Amino acid sequence: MSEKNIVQFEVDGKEVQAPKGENLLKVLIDQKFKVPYYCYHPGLSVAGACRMCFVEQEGVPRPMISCNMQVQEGMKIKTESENLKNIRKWNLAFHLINHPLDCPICDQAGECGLQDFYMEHGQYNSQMQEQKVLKRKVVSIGDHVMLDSERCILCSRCVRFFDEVPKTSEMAIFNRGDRSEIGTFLDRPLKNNYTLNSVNICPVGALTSKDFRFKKRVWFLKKLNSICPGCSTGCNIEVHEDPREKQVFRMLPRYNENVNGHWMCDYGAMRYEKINPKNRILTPKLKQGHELVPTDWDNAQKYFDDAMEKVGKDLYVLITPQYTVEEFEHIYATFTQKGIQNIFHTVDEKNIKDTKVIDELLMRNDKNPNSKGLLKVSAAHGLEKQNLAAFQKELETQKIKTLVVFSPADPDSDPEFMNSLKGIEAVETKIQLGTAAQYETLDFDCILPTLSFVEKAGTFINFNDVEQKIEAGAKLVEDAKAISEILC
Amino acid sequence: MKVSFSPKALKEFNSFEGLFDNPKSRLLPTLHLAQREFGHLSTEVIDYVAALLNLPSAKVMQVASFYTMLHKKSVGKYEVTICTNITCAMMKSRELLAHTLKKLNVKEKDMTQDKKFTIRREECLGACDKAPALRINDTYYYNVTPEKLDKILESLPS
Amino acid sequence: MKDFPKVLFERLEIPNIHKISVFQEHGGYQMAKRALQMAPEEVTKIVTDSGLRGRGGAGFPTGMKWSFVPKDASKIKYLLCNGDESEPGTFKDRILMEKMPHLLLEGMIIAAHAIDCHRAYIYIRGEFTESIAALEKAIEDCHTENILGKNIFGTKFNLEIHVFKGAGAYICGEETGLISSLEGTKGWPKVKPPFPAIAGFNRLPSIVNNVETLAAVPWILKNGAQAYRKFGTEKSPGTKLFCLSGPVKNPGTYELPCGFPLKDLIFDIGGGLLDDLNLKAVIPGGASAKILTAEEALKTTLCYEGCQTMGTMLGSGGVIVIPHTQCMVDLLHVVSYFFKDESCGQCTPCREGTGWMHKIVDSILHQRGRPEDVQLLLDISENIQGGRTICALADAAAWPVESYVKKFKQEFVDHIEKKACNLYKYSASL
Repeated sequence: MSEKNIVQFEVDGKEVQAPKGENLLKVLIDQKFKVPYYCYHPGLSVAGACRMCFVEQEGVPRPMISCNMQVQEGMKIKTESENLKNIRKWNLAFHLINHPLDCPICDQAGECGLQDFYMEHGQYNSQMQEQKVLKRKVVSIGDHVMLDSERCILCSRCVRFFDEVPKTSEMAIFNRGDRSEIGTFLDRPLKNNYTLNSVNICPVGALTSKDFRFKKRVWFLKKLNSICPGCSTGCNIEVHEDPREKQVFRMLPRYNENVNGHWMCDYGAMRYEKINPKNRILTPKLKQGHELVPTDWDNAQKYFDDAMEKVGKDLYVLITPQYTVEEFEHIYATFTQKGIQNIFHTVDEKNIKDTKVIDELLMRNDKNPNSKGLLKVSAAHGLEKQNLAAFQKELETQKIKTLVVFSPADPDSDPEFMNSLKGIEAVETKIQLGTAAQYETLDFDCILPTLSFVEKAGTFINFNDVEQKIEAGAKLVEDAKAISEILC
Repeated sequence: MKVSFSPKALKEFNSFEGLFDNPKSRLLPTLHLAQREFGHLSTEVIDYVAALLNLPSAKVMQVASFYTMLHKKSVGKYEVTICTNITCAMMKSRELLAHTLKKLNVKEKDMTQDKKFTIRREECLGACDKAPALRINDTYYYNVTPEKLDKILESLPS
Repeated sequence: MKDFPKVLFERLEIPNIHKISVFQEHGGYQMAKRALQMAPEEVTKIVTDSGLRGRGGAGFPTGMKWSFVPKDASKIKYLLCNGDESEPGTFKDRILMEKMPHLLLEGMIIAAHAIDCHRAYIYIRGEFTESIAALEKAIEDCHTENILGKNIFGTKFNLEIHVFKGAGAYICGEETGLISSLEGTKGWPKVKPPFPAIAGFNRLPSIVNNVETLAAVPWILKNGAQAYRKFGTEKSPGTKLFCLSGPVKNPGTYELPCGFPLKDLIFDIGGGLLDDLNLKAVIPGGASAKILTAEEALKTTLCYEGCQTMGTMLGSGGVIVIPHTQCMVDLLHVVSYFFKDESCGQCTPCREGTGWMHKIVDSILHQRGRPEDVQLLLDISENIQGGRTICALADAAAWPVESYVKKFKQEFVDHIEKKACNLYKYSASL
């Protein structure tokens, strides 16, 4: 970046640098100055409605809202003063005078803008003794979103979000004055794939996730940086889990300038359900007669190792693009070292070619997070041509003795998966390594639980060849094992 | 039930296009026109105007709910708006309003049983020198006393 | 009172002056023609030199405002006439629009030429049915006479003027609220900067001028800047329309030179109060203006600086006379209700503050007040004004609360201490 594009200025006596013309509030937030704000969001247009972000500038008689200022060379800004303290206290008070005392039942508690800024900038005794303005509560405005218009502070972030991001303009502020109410027209449900983002950006508990409602207090949640496994876009996310309860409770977008900006889609956000214990393969299972009987790892591992030894080079392997690059590398390396060549992948060429967005913003057709990764690793072993079509041809010959399937982590990603294995009955020994309980069927002789994407570290490669890392969190399923532990 | 503009109204609607550089400016004139055509801006009317202007219904409703002259529910044949602001209030317009509501046995903003009247308070109508002032639909009335208003309301054809 | 020319009401009494033929017979549109022969900068200079100030309420120098428009010929510029007269106590623009629509149009033609505008709008509040009809007819007739449209008066200048009907919102009288309404959204004022002269209607340079301001321009062009400065005061030259209302013998609109003593408006021209009523207080400039006690009113001159010295503002010139029989808590109840009702709701201090203040006054009025409420009202009003909000409605809402409570504190205290208020007899709940 050339020298001309950076400006230098002063905040509270400290030297600060920022790109020329950058929004002043954005810089103050990034540099961790304590300026409160509600309506500003770096991914949306400026509203200037909450009036919380006042700062003082030398040479200017009145304080100004910093969200409507651009950084300039040599400007001298103060974020602390008696006057600013008083302004913030009063503006906060105005936000609170009609706000219902819902904290004990409000999901936002613990990450609420009103709570947070009250502790930092308020700490006053309320003088409001009049009747509060009452508005509608518990209004469903879509599959994912619950509206409580009493809690709403009318920052208009959600309205601007739907106008500017998925561009569906479904929300609006009706009436005027303190009777203003946010909502959709006649409570018509929001119909786009990005509704949960409005819940995320709502600074208070006005918009809450129906899915998350009343489930967990946020201070019990641990955060994990990860990548959404929903499709090949690879939106950067935060996974919020309670390690003690061994459950993931929600997934939120994480800012990435190049991949997903500030957002993620609703489909992606709901992927976490698939990897919680109630949807998981919990223990190794072996088919006995017409039943799948749970067993321990000693037995299961022995079964697996015996099967590997017996079939030797004639083993067939089918891999779905929902595992990490490291796992693919381990699988291909281990098998090819043993002389096994019949390793097939289910990457759909069409998905590699057609990478256009299929919804309002981010989602792509390929519902696998790592097609590019799988293709890359298979190509490194010269096996990229061995795709699903080729595998199905082999299945038809009925000559496969032993098959190991690395099943999809997310059954939604490929509803036709089991159908695409038609003819699998003819295979003598069918072993599945996977996570999804949906695939615990009698199609398989041995089912081995492995790790979901929140329980391991690794790399996904998105549709655009960007390599992105996922972090390991707590183990949600006690008996799940890393692939590298099962396959040696 | 689908609503749509009569040919005459449609002609007027089409004339709006030439008035503005930005087609969005047509919204308020169209809402005025729709209210004249259909009586009030019901859900169907809001959706119709939204489709006509290629705007989301929420945004049309947003504007419709902001202005006091635009009605989302039916109004009587005669809308009586009585100014209750400073000078008119000093000249007893609030008493006039209370008297009229009592006389017609109706709550403010509701319609009378016979659907003839809707009475409500209004902010300054710009006729303070002739207070108390009020409007009945598009007509101003000045120096109105309770007796005077009673007579006027009685004289209006049903 | 020495003689002064009637800049605005000169031809008001002429029968049918609203008709184009009569207007033209009496010199109408001569100045528009003359202006089009002058350079735009010349026109702006005359108006600037005259010292004409915005007559909507803010009193900003008109010529200076026009000069803010960038001279970029490639940009479309708009002239927006503010006919959204909604300030309680004000009814002057209505008379101009209804009775002298052509005077307004002539002023607009001159202004449009000065700022290189070819498409102008008159935003008229929806309730002014007659003003709307009068101006629509006047515009139609102008088109017939080639006074509006293409190549007006045979010059290269094109100008269209359209009437835009409001729908009942005081906030649309705010410059950027008016612009938002014109743009097809709610009348929400816009965050400033940028200012309308740089980025206004459709993000293009726009000048918003009050009806009275524009109607004064033809006279100024005809008689010159110095002639306009010959009367009025140095800081408030010229004449202004004052609207006198309340229980006086002669309420109405009067054109007077700025600096005219307020007491003379009330007692001479206004004929004094009716019956046995005594003067208690005066609101000099519409509901937003800080109230004057009777004593203060007697010392006040009706000009921008005169009112400022007395701690209030000239505003729109809506002079409301308050008699001794009026309970001030009740009056503040009415005024605070107005601001609560009209707050657009966009920014928090105004939206919540106006509602809160009204509720407190309501409690005090109905003898539910608490001792701390007096100071609380003063604190709230102090903390919503002074640049805390997107527009000045919050300031306009704060000033009445501040001044009524400070100047008539005892009445508020009496209501709180539940002493009977023999002034407040109105008991129907509104």
